[in-house]
Amino acid sequence: MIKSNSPMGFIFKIFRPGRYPVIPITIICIFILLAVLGQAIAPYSANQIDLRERFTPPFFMEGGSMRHLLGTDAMGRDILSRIIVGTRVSFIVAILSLTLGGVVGTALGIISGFYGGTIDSILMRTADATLAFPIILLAMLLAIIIGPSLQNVVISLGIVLWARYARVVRGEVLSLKERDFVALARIAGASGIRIMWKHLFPNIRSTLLVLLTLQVGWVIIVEASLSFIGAGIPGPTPVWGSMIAKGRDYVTTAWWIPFFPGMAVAIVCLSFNMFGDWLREALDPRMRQVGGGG
Amino acid sequence: MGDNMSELLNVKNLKTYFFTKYGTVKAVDGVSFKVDKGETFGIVGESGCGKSITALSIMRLVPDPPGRIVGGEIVLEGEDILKISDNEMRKVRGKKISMILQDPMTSLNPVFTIGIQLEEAIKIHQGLKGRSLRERAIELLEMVQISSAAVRYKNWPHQLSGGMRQRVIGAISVSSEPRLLIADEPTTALDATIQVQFLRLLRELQEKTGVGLVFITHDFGIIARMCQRAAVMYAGRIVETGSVRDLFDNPSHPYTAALMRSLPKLEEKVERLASIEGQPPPLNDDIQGCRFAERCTVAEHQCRLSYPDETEISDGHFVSCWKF
Repeated sequence: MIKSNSPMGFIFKIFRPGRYPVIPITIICIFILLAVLGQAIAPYSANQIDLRERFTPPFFMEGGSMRHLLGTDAMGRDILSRIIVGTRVSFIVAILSLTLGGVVGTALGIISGFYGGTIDSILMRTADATLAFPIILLAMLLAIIIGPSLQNVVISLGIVLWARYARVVRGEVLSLKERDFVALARIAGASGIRIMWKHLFPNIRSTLLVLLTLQVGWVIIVEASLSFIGAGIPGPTPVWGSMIAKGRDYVTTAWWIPFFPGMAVAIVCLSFNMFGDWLREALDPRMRQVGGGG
Repeated sequence: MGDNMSELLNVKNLKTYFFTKYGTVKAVDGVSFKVDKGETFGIVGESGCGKSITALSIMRLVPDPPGRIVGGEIVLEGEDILKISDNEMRKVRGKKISMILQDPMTSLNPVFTIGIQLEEAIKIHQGLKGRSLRERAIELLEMVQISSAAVRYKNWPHQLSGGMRQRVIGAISVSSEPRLLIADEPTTALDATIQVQFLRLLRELQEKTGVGLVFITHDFGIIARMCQRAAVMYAGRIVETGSVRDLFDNPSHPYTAALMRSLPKLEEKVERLASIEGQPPPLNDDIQGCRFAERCTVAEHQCRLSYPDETEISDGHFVSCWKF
């Protein structure tokens, strides 16, 4: 157990369920703002090369200046600006692939769980096969066949995500459909589609929301990994993953080049995961206040 | 139309089998009974005797696979509902036949208020909208004696007690004014005092709406309290049908008689209640004779050879036993 009067204990107390996780929500809001505004609030153009300023360290180090708060990379591009502009790409990838995977996965998961039998077997074996296939390899294959692009990253992520969603949703539906309210809906003359949409789907909404939040971090990391190995979004678009990849060569001499984009990935990921954990407990129906209905 | 104007439901020789990898389970094997308009008909039997499957068969909601209705007729108001299409059957459900299930805890959808769920049921079959829809929903809640219905209307299922939930389910099931209401052990999950309340409510609902009620239970006390006529089921078959008076005063099938002997009586003090030796036969066995023969104290050679026909021993009192 963590003591509540220790500094760590205090941090854990803030994130205790029931309270709002203030810090993760703030961080998420800041990054969403960065993603929306992007270039508009970046101090420099993300791709502006200035060879005289190359390898400028961050402001707090010797030789650093307030002009480049987080320093510059090997071509003198401002790292802070690139991280800010890169946020948008990460979020776009996350939103698109989660929407794609989430919608397809949820629909197929409900169908699979509700109808069972042959449809269920076919869908679930396909999902198993998809999950067994390494995503990095899949993205590389796509990159080789049609060239690396944002579209490919979204498709590869979507392919893996639908299977994850389908599995979780199917599991939920399997237990939900045995409950009497589904039987009563049939007794009242509801059709299969109506039962799936009006009775089952609302019951898995909170699960989906939690899953969605917990996946954001994962998606951003995978997108960064794909860009890192060159199967992701091609340059010169500033992307966190490829910034880390390019900076790898200078890690002994100019550590800030890979460090700050790496931090961005880690912070966003952690924030979303913490938010998701909190959401999971907050949305638990048993935690819903008695007497506060209406 | 049917030959008898007062007849609501006529189940003839209904057979529902389950085809499993362990063989064919004859859950319901030749069940016949009639229910008149506004009548309460009880089906009583021990667990696994096919009571619930009979109910599900009437709704045509037997899980398929593995189950299937393999034979018989279910005539509702002169129409054999085993012959109509799935789409037509969907319109029959809820509108003509409705059902109350055993467990009020899972019968309501936890993510909607009870008002929304009531309105949903009304909407499907009656097409009311807006204000009148809401008024009808509240009216129904009042009909099932939910106090301050206008407030309760906004409650979530988890805010109601079991008895209240069951009453809400009652309101939902009569919302479309069905002709036939099947109650499958609706009071099993309720406290004894709440049971009595709910049974009284069901009777009142029936008087108000004139709905025919099929009451499934394993409790003879409830049969005596609620029903005019009843059938005793054993291992997928009806062994005895008659008025409640017939069944209690003159139980004629050895199984019914044994059940009656095992009921506690107020006027006698006994150390142990009488029990019936043995177990019901597994329903996937192919039994030629009477299914009760193995446990029957008066069984003869004939009983194990073939199944007895139904005999009318007095007016409306039918028994399937070789003794008659």
